[in-house]
Amino acid sequence: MNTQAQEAPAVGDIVGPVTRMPTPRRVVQYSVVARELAEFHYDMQAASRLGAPRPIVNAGLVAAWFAQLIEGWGGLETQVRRLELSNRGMNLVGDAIELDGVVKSVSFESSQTVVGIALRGRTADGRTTISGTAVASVAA
Amino acid sequence: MSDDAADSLQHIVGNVYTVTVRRIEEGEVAAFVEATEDSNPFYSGRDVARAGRWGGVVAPPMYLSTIRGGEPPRVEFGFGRHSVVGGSWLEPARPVHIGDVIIAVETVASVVQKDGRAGKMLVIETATEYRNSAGEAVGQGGFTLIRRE
Repeated sequence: MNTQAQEAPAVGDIVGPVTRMPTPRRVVQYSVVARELAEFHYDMQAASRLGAPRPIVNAGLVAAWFAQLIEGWGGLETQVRRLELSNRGMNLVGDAIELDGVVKSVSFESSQTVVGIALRGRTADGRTTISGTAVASVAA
Repeated sequence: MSDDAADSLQHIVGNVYTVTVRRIEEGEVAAFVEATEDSNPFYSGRDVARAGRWGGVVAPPMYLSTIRGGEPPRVEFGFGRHSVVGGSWLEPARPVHIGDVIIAVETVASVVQKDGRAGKMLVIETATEYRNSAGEAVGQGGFTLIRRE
């Protein structure tokens, strides 16, 4: 887990970053668990037919990593209420992805703080391959 | 193929195309946790989870999105060989416990044709409602599926 928020969250707080490596083993494991068996997740030729030089990482795996990013930052009481992601490019097996976010809104609901977060995922060469938003509640 | 392939596919919009029923098994959740490298003890640490707010191990929030049937089956899109995921959203509403039975009902929310940088593409939006066996909503979500010419 990444460094947790030490104080009440505020607009502009940085979430993360964390870096994840989608290894072939990891991607195949996820494909089986998620029953996402499209060949372009593990077969070079199938990936090349989509214009990718290597197999393509499952979008759901990256989404799970974003949820972890948020929960790791907010602490054990954090609940992801909404996560919306848009793919900007291909995440390829073997390319590390750096995930981070920035708090865009903070509001309060009974005993919880609700934050809106802008998210992005980048490759080592700085390309943004995925972006999105999240809403999460953290303990006040 | 017509100039706008989406026109011929409007009849599938709003249709339920898959109903998936899955019992949440501890081993499957553990496999998801391992595959996603999730270290949150609520998802795998029985003692910590039992003492926590949910009273036991629950599935990570994104696990819900694995309970689905994929793209609409038995539809002749007439557009590309594969769908790729262009985006997704998920709103988990309540925790999913080991032993829960989850019913996922998938519908086609929209089908539109767009002109992208790489040519024409068909954009299919799906929507999924997740309920437990008590009929309680546990979440909703959707995928943006893209097929290129």
